[in-house]
Amino acid sequence: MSPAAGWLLRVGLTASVAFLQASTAHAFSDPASFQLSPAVAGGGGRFFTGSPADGYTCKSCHEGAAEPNVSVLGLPLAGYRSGARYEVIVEWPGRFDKIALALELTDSRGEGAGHLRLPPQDEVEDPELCEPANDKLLAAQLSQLPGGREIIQVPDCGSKRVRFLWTAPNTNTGPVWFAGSMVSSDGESDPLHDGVTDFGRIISSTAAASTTSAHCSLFAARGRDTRSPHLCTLAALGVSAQLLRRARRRKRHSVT
Amino acid sequence: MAGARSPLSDGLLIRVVRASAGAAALLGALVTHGCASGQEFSGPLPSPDGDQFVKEVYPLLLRDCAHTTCHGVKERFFQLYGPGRIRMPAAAMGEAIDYTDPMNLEEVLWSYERARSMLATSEHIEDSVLLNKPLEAQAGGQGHKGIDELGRNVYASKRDPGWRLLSAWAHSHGSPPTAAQVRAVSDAAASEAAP
Repeated sequence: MSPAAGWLLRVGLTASVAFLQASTAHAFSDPASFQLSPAVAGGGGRFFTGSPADGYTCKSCHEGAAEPNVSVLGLPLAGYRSGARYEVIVEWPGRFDKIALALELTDSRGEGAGHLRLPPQDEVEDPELCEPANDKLLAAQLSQLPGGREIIQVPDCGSKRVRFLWTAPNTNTGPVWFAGSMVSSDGESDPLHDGVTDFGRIISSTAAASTTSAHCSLFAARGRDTRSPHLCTLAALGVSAQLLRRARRRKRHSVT
Repeated sequence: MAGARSPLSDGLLIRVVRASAGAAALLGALVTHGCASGQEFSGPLPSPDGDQFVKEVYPLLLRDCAHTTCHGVKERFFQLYGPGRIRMPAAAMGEAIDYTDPMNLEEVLWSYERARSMLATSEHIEDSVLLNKPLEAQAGGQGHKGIDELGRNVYASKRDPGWRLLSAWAHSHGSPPTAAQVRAVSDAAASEAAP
């Protein structure tokens, strides 16, 4: 079995599910520390997402506890459409209260695939906030790196999920790798007795969109979705743009 | 912590660390080389440049090798200590240091000696464990447990900047790192990290 196939098998056995990590990784509990020099306890540019850009994960350091469960919703499992937008949610059971994670989407060469965006402040929901939720502090942080890589990190601050909008690449860049790693910490400032779950999915570039995203887009278009109207509207616009381009292509073909 | 005790000026402690690391390095070199080729190692270990080690190689090794479950554990001969990774035990340091405390001479010297010992080879230094183990087999490297989640070795080819840096350092000559060099690199990194 090829390494890629093995990775796929490990991460894709369960349909839309994934994983989790945990640990108040001392130095690495602050997302900014991953970019710092190792001389000051930084990651030196490693984000441990398990993607083609950085194949190592949180398991490189954290170990010693059961892997927590994580759910990933909204990925276009049947294939992404170029330029389309998808609302993706990664959530973990509430009983895990010390969670941190990092994720990204890249192409097979490890370069960023499309763009990520976090919800605007007025659409953030309580499970996405650090505790205490009254402070209205969004847990997720988005880092933009050279080469087009965009990393979403969630520090250990009490949030229960992360939600983001993924805009697929405008051009067909081939399969896109969704990869992340989560730590569930025991609260001690060391990498021991922590549970780690790596999660990921290789998303093909076929034309079909996922059921979740199509559902979201359809409801947004009809004005029925009240959960996240902003993100769903964007998704709907993405689908509409795709349909418009396809219509134009058909028209050109019919003329020629 | 390090600043309070000023471990960089603790000559006795440094000598103890260096002596033990050197002895362990030689033993490790004999073991690893003997296992790999069936030949005994003889001759002096290379003495690569300490200044380059502190500035470039040590951060590289911390980034790519010193993960807690990899070359941070004491069970591995090629063991590395450093900030954000496994720290040198209090018994060796003279006092406990925190996970995020700055780099210090003792840990740098330990890591230098362990890395240096990985350069032991009876022939060409390109055949040394330090340069071969992290290199993809298709590029001339050898087996390595430290593959990533995609089954890839640390460096895909000899064109990888990380491998090239290791190779350049392996071919260099100089003295072991000094307290002043460690302090300079630590201060510079801390300055860059400051908000």
